[in-house]
Amino acid sequence: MSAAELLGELVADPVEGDVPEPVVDRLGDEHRRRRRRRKRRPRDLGEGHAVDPVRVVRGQGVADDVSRVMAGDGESLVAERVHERDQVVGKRAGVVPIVRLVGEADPALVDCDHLEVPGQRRHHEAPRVPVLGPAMHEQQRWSVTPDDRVLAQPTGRDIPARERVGEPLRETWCTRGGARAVRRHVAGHVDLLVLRDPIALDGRYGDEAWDVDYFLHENPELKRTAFAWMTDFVGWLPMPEGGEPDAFLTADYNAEMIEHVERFPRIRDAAIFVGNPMTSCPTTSARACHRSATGPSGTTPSAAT
Amino acid sequence: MTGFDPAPLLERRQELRREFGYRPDERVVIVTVGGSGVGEALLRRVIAAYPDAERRIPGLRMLAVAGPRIDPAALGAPAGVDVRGYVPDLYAHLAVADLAVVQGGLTTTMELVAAGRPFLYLPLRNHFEQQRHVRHRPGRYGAGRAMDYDDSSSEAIAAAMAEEIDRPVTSRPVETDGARRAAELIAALV
Repeated sequence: MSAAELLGELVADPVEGDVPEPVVDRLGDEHRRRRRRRKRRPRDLGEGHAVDPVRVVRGQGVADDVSRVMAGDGESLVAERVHERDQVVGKRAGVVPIVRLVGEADPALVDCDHLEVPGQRRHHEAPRVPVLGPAMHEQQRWSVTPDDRVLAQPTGRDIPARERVGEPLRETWCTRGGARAVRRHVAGHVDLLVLRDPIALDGRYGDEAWDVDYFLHENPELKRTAFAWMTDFVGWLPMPEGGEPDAFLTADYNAEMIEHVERFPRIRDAAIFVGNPMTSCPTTSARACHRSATGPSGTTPSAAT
Repeated sequence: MTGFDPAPLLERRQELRREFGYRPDERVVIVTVGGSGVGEALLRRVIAAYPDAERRIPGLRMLAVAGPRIDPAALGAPAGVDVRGYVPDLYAHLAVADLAVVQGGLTTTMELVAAGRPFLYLPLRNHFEQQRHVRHRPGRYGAGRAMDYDDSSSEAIAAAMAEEIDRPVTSRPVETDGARRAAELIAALV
């Protein structure tokens, strides 16, 4: 799927509902000057695709510069396409669709058929294999998975795993197994991950698919199939260099996952630990950690996340 | 755990080594850092250990697997180090190798544990899964030698390679029924 097709598809399926009179917050002169100074890069959207246009979310002007990343060297590009009232005709005149993508909508990230990420280093020739001769394997093309987000983006930079996992929240995602996940910015600062299955699925089986698991617990009404959650470790743990903030955030994340499971036990039809009790790293209960980090002390039975 | 039964590989060890092009007198050391670019620094450091390791390990043959995110040509490997972008059935190569030097991924390390191979692993410093969960698991099987990247010079890695390559492996066997048990749980949902 091309960027244009993606935009077209999403615009054709806009946010439903009446929208009050739009309040248009146009960018200031300084922003416009910055935009003119910026060199075009290969990943910019083409003319006609608003890179830095008007910000309108559910009829409200967005005054938060942080929410929109200005394209700069080394920085992800956030593109928003906004239909203003006079650009929308007919019965959709009261609808303001917002599409927010990070960078150009790479087919590699949107369409799982050809997972090559432009701009990232790759092989230019088939490596030779002893005896077997030249070899090319699907795995070479299958380079974007949720797990990869933990490690793949930096080269030589040792970033805490917790931060790496947080990064995809700004990106278009792709899931395994032929299902496509396209992230939409629909209203305010609410992010909606739309799972688009090219075929009807009988089940979704996620091996450390943290994103899918989190999304389904946050949007339980969008669960369409059986979901089996698998992991080979239990509990996010702080690293010493992260200090107290890392301890708090990992405990909080563990507690959030426990609360997810407690609140919506129907989301995970199966939760499978790949290993045995002997190989599970002994840790303090995440909730106990959380309580300790937030004040009152206490102990609870350990709970798997 | 591994998704394959290592027993047939181990039974055909000599045959597979011939198929892979490894000579009988070679001591095969495979260096692999996973499919991301984050292991490039480790890959460079282990490659830099090659001259020293070659002196310590007669017949050393080092195969460095760059993976899809690291340009093999950019590693500047010395003559004698075989750098490849991709090796099909890497698990089979690992199963018949004499030693492996890897990062701290659970899949690769447990493949090595299951195959009963000696290996060094150097987890990413701030990666809690590699540093704590993964370290715990091979440790429980009595397999592998964990090293800290920050404290491990090329010389230290070369010395560790020489120490470990001839050390008898006494690790516990890895269960082989995990895939079947997981399939039973999942099949009930379909």
